[in-house]
Amino acid sequence: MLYLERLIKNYGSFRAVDGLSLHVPKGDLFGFVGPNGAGKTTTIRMLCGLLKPDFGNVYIAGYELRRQSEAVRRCIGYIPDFFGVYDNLKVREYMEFYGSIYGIEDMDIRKMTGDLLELVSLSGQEDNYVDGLSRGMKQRLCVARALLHNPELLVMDEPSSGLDPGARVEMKELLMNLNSMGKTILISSHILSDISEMCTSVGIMNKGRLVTAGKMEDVLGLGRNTHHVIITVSSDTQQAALCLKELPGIELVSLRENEMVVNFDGSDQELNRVIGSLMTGGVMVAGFRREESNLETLFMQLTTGQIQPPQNVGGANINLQQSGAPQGQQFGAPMGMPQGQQFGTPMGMPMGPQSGAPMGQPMGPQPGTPLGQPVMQAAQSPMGMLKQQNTDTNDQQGDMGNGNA
Amino acid sequence: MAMPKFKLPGKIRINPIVKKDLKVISRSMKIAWAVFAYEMVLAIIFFFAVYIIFDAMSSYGYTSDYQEFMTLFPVIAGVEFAIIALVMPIITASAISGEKEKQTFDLLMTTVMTPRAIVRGKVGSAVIRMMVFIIGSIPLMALSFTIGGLSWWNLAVTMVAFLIFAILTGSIGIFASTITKKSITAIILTYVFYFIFANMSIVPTLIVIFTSTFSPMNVVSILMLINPVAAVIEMFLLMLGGDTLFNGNPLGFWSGWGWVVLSGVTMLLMSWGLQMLAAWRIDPLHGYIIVQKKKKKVKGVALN
Repeated sequence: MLYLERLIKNYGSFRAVDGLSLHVPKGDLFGFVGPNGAGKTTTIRMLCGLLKPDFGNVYIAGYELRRQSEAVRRCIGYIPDFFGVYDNLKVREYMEFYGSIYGIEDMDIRKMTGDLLELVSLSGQEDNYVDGLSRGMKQRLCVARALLHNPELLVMDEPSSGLDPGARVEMKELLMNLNSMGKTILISSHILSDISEMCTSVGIMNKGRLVTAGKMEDVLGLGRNTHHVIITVSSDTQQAALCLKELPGIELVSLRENEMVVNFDGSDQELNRVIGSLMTGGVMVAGFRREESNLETLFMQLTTGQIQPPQNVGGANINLQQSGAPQGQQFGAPMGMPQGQQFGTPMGMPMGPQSGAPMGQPMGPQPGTPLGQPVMQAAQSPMGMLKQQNTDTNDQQGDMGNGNA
Repeated sequence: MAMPKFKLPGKIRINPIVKKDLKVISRSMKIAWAVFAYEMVLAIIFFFAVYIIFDAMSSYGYTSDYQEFMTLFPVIAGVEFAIIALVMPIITASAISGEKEKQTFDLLMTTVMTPRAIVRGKVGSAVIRMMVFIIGSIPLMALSFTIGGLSWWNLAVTMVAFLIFAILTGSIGIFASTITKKSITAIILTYVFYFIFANMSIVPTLIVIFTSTFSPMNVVSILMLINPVAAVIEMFLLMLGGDTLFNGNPLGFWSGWGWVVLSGVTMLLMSWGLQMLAAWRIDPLHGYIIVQKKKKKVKGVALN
């Protein structure tokens, strides 16, 4: 659906986006996160055609922004973090205005307006002035406006900023609803809990580069090696802590009312032995579990360098198909591509090593192959490595189980 | 008898920006009050001009030289040209910068509306707004007809001249609006452009007049093609007395109505050029887009 190819954007001497490549498959709800100044908004503005990339290319639904900008714009519904509204326009007129821009007949606009306003829970507001709507309502109207021409990709830049918790929840539900209807959504947000709850895949940007990207569970798995183990005890925790100190290879991180958070890098069998030792020492263990990885922690770890992304991932050549994206979606050569122009090599650039598509086959990146790079074995490729790590972790978890003692 | 088959013309698609702007404007009382104020100003000037004419006639001992009243027409029209020159920048200069201030500009640019269509829509809506004022002043201008000496054709030509002048000033305004982010700066910039455009014709004309040893009128008439003030003066001279600004011009076509028409076409071309420049300036992807040629020949673009 969305394919960004080695995007570069400089503001003077400052490089805001540095060689970003990304593929978001159709039907994904992709969360785009990163600290302020990471380059998220710049990337979003480039893919929406609001900013000229200094280098690289954008493909949406097979259309190339450089050659088919109108077709690309037709495929995009853009929802910014501000409410672009006109004074003295009613909700119905606001929708009619944008509908007429897309050449939709007045009758169809009226019908679609009713349906869309119902979808975003704004039924009955047709004759109210846009200016008089609440912030949350305006943002939902923005979503309705963006859906008017039935775009294939919704691009949202901080849609929940400034919304109250209720409106935020409504917005989240709306987006999940739209995604379940098959819309591909790219959403940038600082509210990581929302992103981890609703998104199917995620990309973390830092300093203009994509630190990592992939399916949500795969990305969350990145920080799993350093996961803490939470041991719930029903006896005295102080005594349990003393008992724990005597055990090798385990470190107490924090002590709560009836929980101990420990850092343990041994295998699952070793952990089972530790729990057994504690129980033998008289500690009544009510349960134990590995601490769930969350996006906030991972975000902090990745952006502050506490953990390093897998090798080659920092280069930001990410293809989500490698991490279990819907199968069967082969990204073919985008429409209108000139003959002889190798996909993955921007015009005017020296040809990079190509995977070499056989004659008669569509040109394009091989599934699972970062653009412009030689084909790597799955285990060598960035997401392949992630996948292997996760498989290991899952195996370990399978051995250990998450049950109660 | 078989009725001839008529094919209905395709549906005329109005620029969405024009449609939206007119809808919003027509709902507001502001436009009604503005037209009222405009007519009041014109009426005051009209009666003041009548008073001056009467005063002049009585001082010379005339009582019934109605020929003098014909000058009311160019006076009112001249005032209207001045008002267009002053008001159009205020309307158009805030067109793009206003969209940016309201944060609606980015939304427009992500739609399928091309930058050219956006600029055309903005100029179009400003020109239509201005023409509401002009058409509203027709009854006042028509008072000159009660005296005689002027025809409906003269009025129609004047209306076309107003329209062309409004398009030109609107185009200058919209171009200024694309240069700066603030509306007030754009308005000031438009007046600066007026000064530059005026000097683009006046300075070379003065140089030609003072340096040429033989009749310079053919060169002057060409230089003055871009000057709307010269075109308006020439137009009224021709209407009132058949005289011309470019007396002594050996090139027949370069004076009289032929010159006025040519000047109008030149100004329309200038407007088109300014609108194209404005569209180029607001297009975020200019220099990035590769235009597909019909022969499918792809033109390479050097990226920064």
